[in-house]
Amino acid sequence: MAVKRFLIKAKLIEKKELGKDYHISWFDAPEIVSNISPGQFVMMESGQYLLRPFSVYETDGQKAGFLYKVIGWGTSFLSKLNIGDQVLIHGPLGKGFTYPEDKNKPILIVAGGIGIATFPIVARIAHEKGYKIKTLFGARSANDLVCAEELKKYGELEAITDDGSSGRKGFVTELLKNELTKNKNQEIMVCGPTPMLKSVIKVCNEFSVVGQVSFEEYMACGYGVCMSCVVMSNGKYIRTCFEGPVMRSDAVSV
Amino acid sequence: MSSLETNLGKVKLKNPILLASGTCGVAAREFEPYFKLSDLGSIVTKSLSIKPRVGNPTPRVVEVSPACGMLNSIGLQNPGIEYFVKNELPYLTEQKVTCVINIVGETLDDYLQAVDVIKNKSEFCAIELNLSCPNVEGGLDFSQDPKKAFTMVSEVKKITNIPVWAKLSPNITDITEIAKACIDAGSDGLCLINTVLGLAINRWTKKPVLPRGVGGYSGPAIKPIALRMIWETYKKFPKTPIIGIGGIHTTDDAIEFLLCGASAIQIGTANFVNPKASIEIIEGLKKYMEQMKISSINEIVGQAHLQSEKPLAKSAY
Ligand SMILES: Cc1cc2nc3c(=O)[nH]c(=O)nc-3n(C[C@H](O)[C@H](O)[C@H](O)COP(=O)(O)OP(=O)(O)OC[C@H]3O[C@@H](n4cnc5c(N)ncnc54)[C@H](O)[C@@H]3O)c2cc1C
Ligand SMILES: Cc1cc2nc3c(=O)[nH]c(=O)nc-3n(C[C@H](O)[C@H](O)[C@H](O)COP(=O)(O)O)c2cc1C
Ligand code: FES
Repeated sequence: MAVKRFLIKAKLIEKKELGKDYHISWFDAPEIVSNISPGQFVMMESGQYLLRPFSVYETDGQKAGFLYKVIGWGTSFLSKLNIGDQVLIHGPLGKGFTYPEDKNKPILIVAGGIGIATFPIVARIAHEKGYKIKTLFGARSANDLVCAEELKKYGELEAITDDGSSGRKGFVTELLKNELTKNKNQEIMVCGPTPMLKSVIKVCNEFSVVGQVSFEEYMACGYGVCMSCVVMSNGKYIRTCFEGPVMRSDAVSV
Repeated sequence: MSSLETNLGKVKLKNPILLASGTCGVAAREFEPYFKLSDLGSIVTKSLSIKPRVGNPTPRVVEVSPACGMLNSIGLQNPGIEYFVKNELPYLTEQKVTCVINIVGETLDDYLQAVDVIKNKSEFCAIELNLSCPNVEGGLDFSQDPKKAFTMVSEVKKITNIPVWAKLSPNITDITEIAKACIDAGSDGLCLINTVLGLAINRWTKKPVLPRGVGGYSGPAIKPIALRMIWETYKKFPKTPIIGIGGIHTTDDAIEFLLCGASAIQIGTANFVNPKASIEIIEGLKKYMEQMKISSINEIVGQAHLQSEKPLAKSAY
């Protein structure tokens, strides 16, 4: 099947602040909405030279929503747009998550920090397809547990924070170990900061399970032409934006 | 009728727009969703070496604020020239693209071995020798020492009939010295410029951002540097075709390069922010030529050097 890509000027039609530094922006982007598969991303205009990668967090009618944390120039630019402003969006890009063939295999989502932004659409569609879903969510503190309520609509959610301000104190890998000790036969889907991904991959290896891991490497082009976003796989650097962002946990060297 | 057909000495292209090495994957396959590769003048492959190269660790790229461009330190990651010929070249042939093959190495012998693999192949319209990659140890030698550049080009010319273009580095005091050495050695064209050496510091870690410290600066900010070097080279060697590279993003940029003395141009970093940049520039050039009643694009090459020429009317394409 030929890949469909769009370069569109999309209009901001709705925006919402989710507490300190977290925002959701909805753009009118029918081309993206009708071609996105869960876990894919877009490159978005940033007010700077390069575009920035963002997962599509949810879709709603013709709208594509993006959930992001303000950390620098581009995310700040995005948060300050006014309704009606237009920005360049390039996508959909990359390879998303795959749902297991076995409908009875439960899906275990493991999210770290803003990595959660990838999952609402993943979980909703999984729910619609009839999978059982559980989410493990690790964040710095209670303030960073954004869109937990939304994910609870689709299944159980267990949170853990670095400072213990909500849920248990500790790291999400502890929750994952508990889960895998109970049941190894779960389809694991992971997204979060690179150090967390590496720890999760180690846990997967310990338990001899293979998870689907979404990487967040620094990207210049987002569509495979610059070789900036690489991770090591079997002695070779492969592109997060093209071969990924979702990759098998056993294919990536940590 | 306006014609975009471009003459670069022995090399004829359907239009003057190419994709620059390292900014279009290995063989530009990734552009398939956006346009037909055969609509371009040509593409330049990623720099290929005799042995595959793994490339540098990440981060490989850092942006230069506010909108100046970026630094890269990819480290010439490539699958090797033999792999390319076997697995990528058939794709380009199928797409009806006669490409420019870019070759790199650490020693003269590396280059010669790589050229040897492709020396008789008609699928290439030119060989671009990357004399100037700043991202490997000693990588600048051939582009900073006229004697070495001369030896390189003349040795390559001895073993192949494919036209040879030398791609030069801007990281030098007088570009025309190296240009002269390459022309004397029989270079059929000169590609300028490669990236400009730069560095970025991370104020939190208090270290350079890129693992090797330095990186190659590309994008909008290097355009005036490229134009200046093309200007100087064209002035001294107006008969040698120049392929201009450096910060070209729009039709306006492209026209400026042609007027400055480039017969063709390569689109580099602009591809990252707009995959259709090259094809939009081709459309823009067509409109410009119609509007200005220019019958052949070759006519405007180097026109900025003609002192007495009537100024062109303000463009409104
Ligand atoms: C496939 C993919 C999907 C993503 N999806 C989302 C999303 O849905 N929501 C969201 O909030 N973020 C997401 N990100 C991360 C997001 O792209 C970055 O937060 C954004 O690029 C930062 O841009 P900026 O201009 O605000 O920051 P900058 O001013 O560019 O940088 C600020 C600081 O953050 C660091 N930084 C910037 N980008 C990255 C990165 N990609 N990885 C690690 N460090 C980085 C910089 O080095 C710098 O120190 C995603 C990243 C990828 C690769
Ligand atoms: C990520 C990246 C990789 C590059 N790799 C190569 C390469 O392998 N060989 C080469 O000759 N030039 C390489 N270049 C240089 C470009 O071909 C071009 O000369 C330079 O970027 C200046 O043009 P620009 O400002 O339009 O990008 C690379 C540039 C970038 C940004
Ligand atoms: S971001 Fe350019 S290859 Fe992945």
